[in-house]
Amino acid sequence: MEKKYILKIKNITKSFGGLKALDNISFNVNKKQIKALVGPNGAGKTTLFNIITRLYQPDRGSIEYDQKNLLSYMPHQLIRLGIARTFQNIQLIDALTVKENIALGLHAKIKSNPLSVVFGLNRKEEKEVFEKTERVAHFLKIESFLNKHPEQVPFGIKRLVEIGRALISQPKLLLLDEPAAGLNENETERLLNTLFRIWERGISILLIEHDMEFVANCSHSIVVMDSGKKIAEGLPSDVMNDYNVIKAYMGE
Amino acid sequence: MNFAQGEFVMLGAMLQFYFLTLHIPIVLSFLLSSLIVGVIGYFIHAVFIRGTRNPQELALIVLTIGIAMILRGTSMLLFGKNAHAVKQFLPFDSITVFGLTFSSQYIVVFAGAIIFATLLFIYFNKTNSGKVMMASSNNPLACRLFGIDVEQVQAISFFISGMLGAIGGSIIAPISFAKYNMGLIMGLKGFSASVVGGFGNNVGAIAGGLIIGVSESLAAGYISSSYKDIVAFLIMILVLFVKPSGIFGAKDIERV
Ligand SMILES: Nc1ncnc2c1ncn2[C@@H]1O[C@H](COP(=O)(O)OP(=O)(O)O)[C@@H](O)[C@H]1O
Ligand SMILES: [Mg+2]
Repeated sequence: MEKKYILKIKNITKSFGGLKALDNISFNVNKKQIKALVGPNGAGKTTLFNIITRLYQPDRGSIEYDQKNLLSYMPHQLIRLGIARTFQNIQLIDALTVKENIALGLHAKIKSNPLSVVFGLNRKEEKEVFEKTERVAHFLKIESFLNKHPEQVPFGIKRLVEIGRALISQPKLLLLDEPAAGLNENETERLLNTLFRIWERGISILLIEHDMEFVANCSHSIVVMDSGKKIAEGLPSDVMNDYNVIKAYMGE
Repeated sequence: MNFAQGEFVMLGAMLQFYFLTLHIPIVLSFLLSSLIVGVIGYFIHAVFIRGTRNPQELALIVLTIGIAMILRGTSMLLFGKNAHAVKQFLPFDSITVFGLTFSSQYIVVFAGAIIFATLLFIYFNKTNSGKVMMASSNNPLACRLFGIDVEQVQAISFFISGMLGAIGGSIIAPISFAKYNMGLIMGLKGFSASVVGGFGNNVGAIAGGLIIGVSESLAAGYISSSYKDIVAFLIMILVLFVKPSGIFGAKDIERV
């Protein structure tokens, strides 16, 4: 039977020395869903992303992705599985242009013989990369920055370039680590709009965010984490209610 | 960061010497020594470096210094402690240009430097695999998650740096002689050149090399050739005081 979820996280635990960064975390991300992961700084959200993208090995637990055991894969194999991510601290490649940074997302899909690449003989493939990059840039409305280097573009654009690099690989699951952090009101509005257009294309999204309002506006389901533990999960409206109750209780 | 780079130069010079004693033609021994040292570089990566997943910078430095010692010791055992003379590449000894006479090998060194610097420039800036290599050292984390097998790219870069080191070594061997411990000072000077120019900056490294080389010659001419070797390190220390990122350097790369 076709499964409802694309990602199933089960009992994931991870300690750094004495610190339990993740304590028995379990939840699913359903297909074509925008799921949000919220919680204060240090809750373990990024650590969970790092485990999903195989940069860290969990102490315990399992992750199923698209009927596969995700923990048996290496980081460089993920893009081919259809998982792409962005980073909380932007990770663009300064030595490359924005265009080349986006095209990097296609690297895994291109399997050409090294000689043809070295001598630039494979014009057809080059054209394909070029067209796809243009299309993604158009989708994100960042065409005018394509030939610049990352350090020459505004912060908000850098975030979009990272999203572009992820999108060009045509992922099934997109992981966004605090995409709204550091954005102004306009840029946030634009990001929300972009997020929905990505979702309309049938891509499942797992999104880290610490701003509850933002999350309530854009997600279908929320997981709340604190100090490595999952403290709530559910529809935005329900979780928001609980959240307000907790806040009231804490006297904030 | 590879502190065994100077030893690749030494190995190139040594193999060039060795193949010539076997009466192998000069071009062939040049190709053979660069290829062999390239393969040695690849295996050093495979055996010592690939195993250390996500190594710290400091660990890599200590590791490559250790590898350098092994290579130096092995070379001493195989080829002895003497400096070996190596035949020049061109069939004539010296050449006179504008009344200045110099050894013909200087032409080879000069042409070689230009040719290989150009090739490297084209490789890193115009070819896909060169860009991938640059990207992988610039941001291994992002590259890894976008499908690049960064370890494999690193292995290839060790092959290339072994090969390039050996090319340099066999070209300068007729001038400098081949000696088991020549790599130490070569490596340190290469390091100084890249620090002076700005770490991770190719054009900067070349400029740094030129600055250091010219200053050395001036020091040798005006002061004394015995102070020549100090110049490189003096310049490096000076640059580190004034502009720690090097003359052409950008800001430091931040952490994840
Ligand atoms: N590589 C690491 N080594 C040691 N501690 C880490 C490492 N990565 C994260 N941590 C710790 O784990 C906790 C959770 O961090 P993180 O996942 O970044 O939180 P969040 O993204 O929710 O703000 C923090 O206390 C952090 O210091
Ligand atoms: Mg975080």
